[in-house]
Amino acid sequence: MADNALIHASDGYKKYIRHKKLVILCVIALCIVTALFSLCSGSSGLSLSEVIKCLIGQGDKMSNSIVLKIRLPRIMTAILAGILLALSGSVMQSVLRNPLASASTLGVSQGASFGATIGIICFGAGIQGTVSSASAITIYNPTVVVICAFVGGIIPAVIILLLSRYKTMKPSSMVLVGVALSSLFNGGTTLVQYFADDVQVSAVVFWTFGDLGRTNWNEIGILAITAVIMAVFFIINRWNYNAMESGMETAKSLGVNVDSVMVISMLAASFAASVAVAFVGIISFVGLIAPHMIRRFVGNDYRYLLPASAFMGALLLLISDTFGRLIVAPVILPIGAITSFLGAPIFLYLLFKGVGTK
Amino acid sequence: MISVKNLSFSYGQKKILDDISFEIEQGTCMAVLGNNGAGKSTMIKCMNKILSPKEGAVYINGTDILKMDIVTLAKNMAYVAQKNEISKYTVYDAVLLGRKPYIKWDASENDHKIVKEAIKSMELEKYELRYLDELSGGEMQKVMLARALAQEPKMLLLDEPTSSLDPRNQYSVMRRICRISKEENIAVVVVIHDLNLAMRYCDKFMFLKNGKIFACGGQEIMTKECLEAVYEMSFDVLDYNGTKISIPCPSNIDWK
Repeated sequence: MADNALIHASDGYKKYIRHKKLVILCVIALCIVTALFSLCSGSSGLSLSEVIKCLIGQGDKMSNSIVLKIRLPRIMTAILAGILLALSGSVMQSVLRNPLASASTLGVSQGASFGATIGIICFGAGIQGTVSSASAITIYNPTVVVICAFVGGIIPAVIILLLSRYKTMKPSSMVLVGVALSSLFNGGTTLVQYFADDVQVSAVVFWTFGDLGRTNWNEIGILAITAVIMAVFFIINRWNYNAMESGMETAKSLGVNVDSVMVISMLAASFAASVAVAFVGIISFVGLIAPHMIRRFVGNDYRYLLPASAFMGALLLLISDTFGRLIVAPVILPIGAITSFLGAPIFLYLLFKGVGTK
Repeated sequence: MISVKNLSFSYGQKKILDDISFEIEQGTCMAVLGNNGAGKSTMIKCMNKILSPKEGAVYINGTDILKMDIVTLAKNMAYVAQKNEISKYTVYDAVLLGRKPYIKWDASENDHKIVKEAIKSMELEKYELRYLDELSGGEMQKVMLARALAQEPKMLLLDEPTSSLDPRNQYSVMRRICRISKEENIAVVVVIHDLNLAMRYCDKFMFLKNGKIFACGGQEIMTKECLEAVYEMSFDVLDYNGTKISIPCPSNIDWK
């Protein structure tokens, strides 16, 4: 919001808005600090100055190789996947009026994972690598994988939308639908694996763990373009989401075409999550907990909640990944497991607090 | 002049509203009365395109607003729902939402000016930064009215704005509604159950029964006979210092 527009607002409100902007800046700053720490951390210890030299193109060959080919792609993937998952989660929570909604709790991630598995195994869009576990699978044809993941992710989104339209459901009931859909897609993934050969099975199993370390710069480019387009789309709709927070009837009376905003936003949120799942596998709970964590500081105003959630998602994935890389180094723990350890207790806390029962 | 012509609405085969037609001048407040299920809330939702009427038209100064796009409609007509979902918003932000139909990218200086005026007119200045879940029922209704005012509407539709309030707040809210309609020259249609509140503050009355208009007019229709026919129970209507009051006398109801 332009400060000069606030000329008529009270000093208290101006201060209140400044506080929200400050929170967003703090989260961005934390992302930068964590990213730099992560770039410096690893088995071949690099100092901050060496890392900065590499980033500005003055590093030696060895450092360049470590920073630009291994660590930086990983960190960029964490940031972009975190942004996509958190944006997707906060938009789903808004349009479904459900604080427990996110790609992983509604089965969208599992659907996208099933779709991507089909793409990799049935359409031969990926292959298992031979060098190290970090490159266990290389995606040849990212377009096919993204399309398959999107189709897989869209199915649960459409089912949830239809159910929420024709039946009044408690937020927790909607999550139960998500559990059922997740089981369905996990079953489908198992079935596809059953008929695949050993190499394909090991590739897909490894892929479903959730891993930030297998993306190349082309895939990061796709993630970045998707993140920018989705962020712009969601931010354009921020006033619609704010109006929908007051109830669907009120939103309609404020000039929001509720039905089309709901459908298009759910499809866009599913697409955002599906693209992230297509390249990094299933990373649970980030989309759920990032918006809730930041709501404490910026409230429900989507003008600030969307950017704050996006950077909070990036920060969560960066911290989880750095933790996973360092805690039992040189072994790298799967990111999906780390975020589940972090997210499950918060999810239980939300249920305990009663957010899913109203 | 707001004019509703032949408004009808059905849920499947069940007719909820049947050929509703009436007129209301700018600056007047009309109470919509009747039993539960008579179609009162459905009528104002149809007038605001929250529900799609099967047939009929709503004209504001000769323009059919049901043919307007939803954003233009929101600039002409504001609606306060019976139940307000309470989100983690401050009073200021909740009122700012009333500017949603006017906001292109972000709220302008003029939007903030109008929000400030709406907050002031509802005497909410000291609550500006309070969250909605910290407000009482009466304060919450004032916020909703301020938001509706921020829409700068020509017509204001209110669905039972006093239903969950204590008597003091009921009178306070209705007094404000009456004042808004006069000061801002807005036509107000308010769905209400309290006959005495309606008689005290409204200029015009409409009784709905089984989806049809049973009676529509000024104080002259608020008679014992009319109330008894609409509510199917005994009433007394008395004159108290120039204001009519109704007293239900439910002797003919089998309470078992």
